[in-house]
Amino acid sequence: MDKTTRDLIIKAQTGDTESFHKIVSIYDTRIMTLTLQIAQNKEDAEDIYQETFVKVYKNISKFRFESDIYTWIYRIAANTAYNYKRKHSKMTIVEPKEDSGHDFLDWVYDPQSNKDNREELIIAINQSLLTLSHQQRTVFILKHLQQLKIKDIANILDLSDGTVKKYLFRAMEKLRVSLKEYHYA
Amino acid sequence: MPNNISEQQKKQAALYICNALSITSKRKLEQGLKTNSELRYYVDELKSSIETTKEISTLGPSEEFLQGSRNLLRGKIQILSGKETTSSILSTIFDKIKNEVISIAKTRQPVWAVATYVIIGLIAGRLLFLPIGDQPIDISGQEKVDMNKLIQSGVLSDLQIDQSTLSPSSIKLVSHTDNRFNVSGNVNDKNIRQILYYLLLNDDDIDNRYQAGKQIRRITPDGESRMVLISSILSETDQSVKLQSMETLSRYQSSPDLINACKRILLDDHNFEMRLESLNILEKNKSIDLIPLLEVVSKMDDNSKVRVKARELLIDLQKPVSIENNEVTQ
Repeated sequence: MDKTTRDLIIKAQTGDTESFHKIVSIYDTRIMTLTLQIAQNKEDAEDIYQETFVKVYKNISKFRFESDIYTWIYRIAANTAYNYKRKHSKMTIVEPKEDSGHDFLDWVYDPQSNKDNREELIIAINQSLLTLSHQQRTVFILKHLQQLKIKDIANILDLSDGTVKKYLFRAMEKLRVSLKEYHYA
Repeated sequence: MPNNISEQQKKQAALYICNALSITSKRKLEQGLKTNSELRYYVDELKSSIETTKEISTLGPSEEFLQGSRNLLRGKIQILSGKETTSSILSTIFDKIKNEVISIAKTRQPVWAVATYVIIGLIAGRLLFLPIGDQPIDISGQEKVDMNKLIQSGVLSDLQIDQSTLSPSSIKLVSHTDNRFNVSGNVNDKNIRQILYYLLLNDDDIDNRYQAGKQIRRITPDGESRMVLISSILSETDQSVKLQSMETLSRYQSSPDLINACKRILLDDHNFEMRLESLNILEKNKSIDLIPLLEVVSKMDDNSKVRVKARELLIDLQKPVSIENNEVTQ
């Protein structure tokens, strides 16, 4: 951790909200990317983002510099995203509709948007991910898009290794079927 | 295609891709892959679907979306830090005036509201002498009254406001149980004002508090009455009394205390009329500092009228910004 970040954390721990917002601006793009991947809709992603950083603000005085601050925030975000379903009814298993997924492209930045059939592919992935349960989607994204180990996922989400594996298998099997026509050769 | 693979094999294949198999199971599955083309095909399909989903890993939030979220978060943090500051200030005040509070600890209002009242009295220098004993308690004509002793004498606990026989600008305060106490005068009289403030903040009887609030409405607004009314809107339990205090405050000039109290009402009060009234007050004191708060309220308030009003205010506050932007781009 560099000195600037360390200083910002110490100032935030003493109640300096501007330092806190600087910390937010350093890491929040990655956190919002994670919450968008898990939530697959704007409203829930924003709620999770807000809840995550409010928790970070309330608990930053407890941060003891034993890990990287991003790892700490990331764990809070992943846990918040996973538990969000328990508290809110908005995030449910959604049957894909013909036009669902189009909105998704309105509020994300896609660096490869000029590629042929790119939009169609993104929408198809979005629709497929929406067919997963919230737990399956969270675990799948943490494993395959965020490249976390099963043990770490279990630890962050407070689940057993076996439960994580069960969700992973179900998610992979569903995606195998739903993304069949988009498989790489 | 892979219909002839058992569920167990499928699970093993998925875990194989996730690199989550034991060495023994991994070797066993790899042996199976050499001889079982369907299993091999199944593993390839799984790998391919994972690679396909990785396409979305390049997607990130748009700058506008992220900025909007940051603004909303800024509002929430501002509120959180404000609450922490408020409670810290209140605890400091509490420590400073602990002795005064102890003497009137049995009153109905929360300690901090009583504390506010006592502070007002102290600042105004009005905790002075009042004759007690068998002599009549008549404060008419007295320049200054010892409110603390008056409170301790208990005479204020059963006062009634009587306006029936007096002119509109006058007020009469009578005690049911202590006929030594009989006060009449103008509502702007310092002593009467002090008693009205006390009644509004401390009387057990809702009607008396309501009547006191009604009389305070006739007082020429000043910093002291503003503080009392703010104390009332933040601590009053009866909705009609509280709303009346809020409406009276809407006639007052702006002050940082009033703005902060309105912000708190807007976020904490369960009565939507109170929240609407606080928006009316904030509307008269528009400031870009309100934007984060209004963004929160316009999206999250339970009441649609409050949300609409907050949104209107927000749009109004953001107008000049967009005009400036247009000017720049042009």
